[in-house]
Amino acid sequence: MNKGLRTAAAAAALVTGLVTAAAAPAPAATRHERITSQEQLAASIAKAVATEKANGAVTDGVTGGIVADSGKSGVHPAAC
Amino acid sequence: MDGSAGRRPLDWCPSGDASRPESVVLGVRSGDGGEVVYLADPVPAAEVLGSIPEGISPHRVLRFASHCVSDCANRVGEACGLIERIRAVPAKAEAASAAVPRCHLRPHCKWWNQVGVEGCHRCPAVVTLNPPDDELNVLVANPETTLEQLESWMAAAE
Repeated sequence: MNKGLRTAAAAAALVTGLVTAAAAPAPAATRHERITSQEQLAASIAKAVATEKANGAVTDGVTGGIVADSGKSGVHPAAC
Repeated sequence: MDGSAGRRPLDWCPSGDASRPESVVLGVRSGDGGEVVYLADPVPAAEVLGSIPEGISPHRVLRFASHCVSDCANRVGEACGLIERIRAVPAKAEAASAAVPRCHLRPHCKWWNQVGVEGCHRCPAVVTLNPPDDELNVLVANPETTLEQLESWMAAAE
């Protein structure tokens, strides 16, 4: 193989490598799994319930979330 | 301000009340350490509540999304005081660098709209119902806790 062909071959290999590298997916960051089916949902709930039972079910406590301040809560659009 | 043309879309609370008519399931606490695994698509809460056995609080095993309402005790003006208290607690290093959860709520999420991606990083670890003996999380959950009180507690706990 003469020098010109070696150079062309090397260039072709380089381009191929670049294309291959570009096509290959970048290493993924840790992706959170998602629940996409009823079966998965049921299985996830069963797992969460089992864990809660094993840890001693909590039925009373402090709510970290929506807390109605009065008996007549309603939906009020945010002020414009 | 006229009606629908000038109204901002409703925000949703990502630690909502399962009993509200619009409530949907956001995720299940079936991940490592009880972290939330998110649903790709919302499921009405009413469809799922029946599968929670007696003696188990739905707000311990699931997270729900429901409308952010103006008379929520966590409201501080237009803002959510809960996510501000959550943010005040130093996050675990791995949580801060983890990929952002892919959830169906984000564009409408009160926390996302208020604090951006930091809210998403904190979200998986949030439990709606906190046992009385979990001092820190009870402080965070309590709408009456001020940021100063939280910081004092954390400083004393070091």
